[in-house]
Amino acid sequence: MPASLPGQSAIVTGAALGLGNAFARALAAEGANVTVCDVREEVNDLVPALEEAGGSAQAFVADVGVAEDVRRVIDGHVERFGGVDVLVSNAGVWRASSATDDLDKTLDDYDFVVNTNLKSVFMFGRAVIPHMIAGGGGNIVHIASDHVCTCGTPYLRPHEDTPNCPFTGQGPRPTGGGPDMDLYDASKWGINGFTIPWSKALKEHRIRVNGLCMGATDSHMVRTFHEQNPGSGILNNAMRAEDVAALMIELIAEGPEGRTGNNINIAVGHPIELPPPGSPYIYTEGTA
Amino acid sequence: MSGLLDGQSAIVTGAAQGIGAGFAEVLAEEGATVTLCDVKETVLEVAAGIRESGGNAQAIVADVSRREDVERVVAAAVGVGAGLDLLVNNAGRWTSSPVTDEWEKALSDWDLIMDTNFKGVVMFGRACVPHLIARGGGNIINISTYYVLPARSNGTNPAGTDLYASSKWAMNGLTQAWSQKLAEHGIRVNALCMGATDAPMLRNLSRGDPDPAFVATWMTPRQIAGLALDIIREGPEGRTGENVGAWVGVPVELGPPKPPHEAIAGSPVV
Repeated sequence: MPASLPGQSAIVTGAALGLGNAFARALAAEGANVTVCDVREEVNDLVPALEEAGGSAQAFVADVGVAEDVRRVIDGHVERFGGVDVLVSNAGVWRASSATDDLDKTLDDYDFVVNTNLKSVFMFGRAVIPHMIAGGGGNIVHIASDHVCTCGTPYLRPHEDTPNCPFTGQGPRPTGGGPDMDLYDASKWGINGFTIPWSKALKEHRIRVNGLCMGATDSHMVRTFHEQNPGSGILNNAMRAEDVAALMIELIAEGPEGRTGNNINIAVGHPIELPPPGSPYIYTEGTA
Repeated sequence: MSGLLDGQSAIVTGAAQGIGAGFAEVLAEEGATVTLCDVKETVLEVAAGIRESGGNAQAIVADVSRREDVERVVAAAVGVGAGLDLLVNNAGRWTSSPVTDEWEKALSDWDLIMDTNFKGVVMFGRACVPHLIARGGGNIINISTYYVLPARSNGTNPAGTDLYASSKWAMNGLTQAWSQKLAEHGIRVNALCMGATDAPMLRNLSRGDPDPAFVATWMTPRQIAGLALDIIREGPEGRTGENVGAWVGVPVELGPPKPPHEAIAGSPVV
């Protein structure tokens, strides 16, 4: 199959490991010039692999929650590649936080979790949008969480045919990641405030904005969670980052007339596939 | 006359006007000792009005985005009310934030909206929870918008207000996780997700001169406060972790508790 993104350019945040790493490799394999960033210096090691796969590549060690770092990545990308066609706002962190924590811990958690998971999405998006408008279109992909979805979003999916879904036999899946996820879940819910309004504002500029609401994928974040919660079973049936990356390429390949403003729920125990295009959430079609 | 909240202590943030002021008045009428706060000094007049009507109220000029202010308000409420039973997280800001704004405005809008609407709610929650636990139970009511009911989000979430929408979406994560964490302490956490309500935030959107026919469709702050009273009335076994929606064109009433998969996401649009 011919490369689907020859000559285009993409930015992937949080690309040193896990999903971001797979996204960057998949974009490079489609012929895109790729800028990657991460707080981890290992992100530099990714550049040769990306260049071997396709076009040119560069890496920045940067904190996505810091405005100056965001500008450095975007400006560096535009200077090198002339514009931005694809932004994958992938960088994210998890840390347990809950209603009974004290304020000292909470303010530290807020800066760490909210700045990395949500302010980064806002800043990267706002920084690339003028370049995408100037370039006549583009794709923004947000990496959210299946905590903001029910299985089968935008439809309620029955579970009879999905024996590996942890919610099989329990009725329709509720939202949320549990009592110790308040800031993480809030940061991921907050992404909706960018996915939906931006999709409306940018439609006329042929810029599509969608969210991938990820269930457990075999990644650094999920392995860290597993180490801290060994009984959770989170690694059972965890998805492969490569399969999720292939889905993201398929999403972009829908082209300018493709879906926008959608949250695509990719949940463990369900097929890794694009649902029919729809609106962000629950509809009466389909059954509980 | 005895009230639903006799002997109880409540905090209402953003109580100088609109929904917050309506809440403070209604809670005081039900017998609560109410601590009001706002960045606007006119919050002092609202509290004075409540006292003139025979209610118990104190007001503190405070900025919910500042930790010291949050701690000051909570300490004052606990002092005057001998504890705490109810937190109404109402303070919120709105500003137009089109995607084509300049970088510097984008960054300052983030601080303006998020520090009040999101971080302020987080800090008030954290500061109040130990006192609610000490009391053996209580209620937290988060004031949100129907933008965040996913089943309704396609028609809401306007293009030019990304940060406001995001700050309210974020509240979903707080309402749900808090309800789960605090259930064992008898503390219930619910959000009111409103459509158009007659308050300065909305009147300002109409440049202070809204069409009277439009205003006639709006809900009132007292109606919204009434919904909160109905939630409190349900008692310790009542609903928790739910986004209670209320919008123009449907009766403003609590309705039965929703099943878990619809508690935050809302009921499907029919």
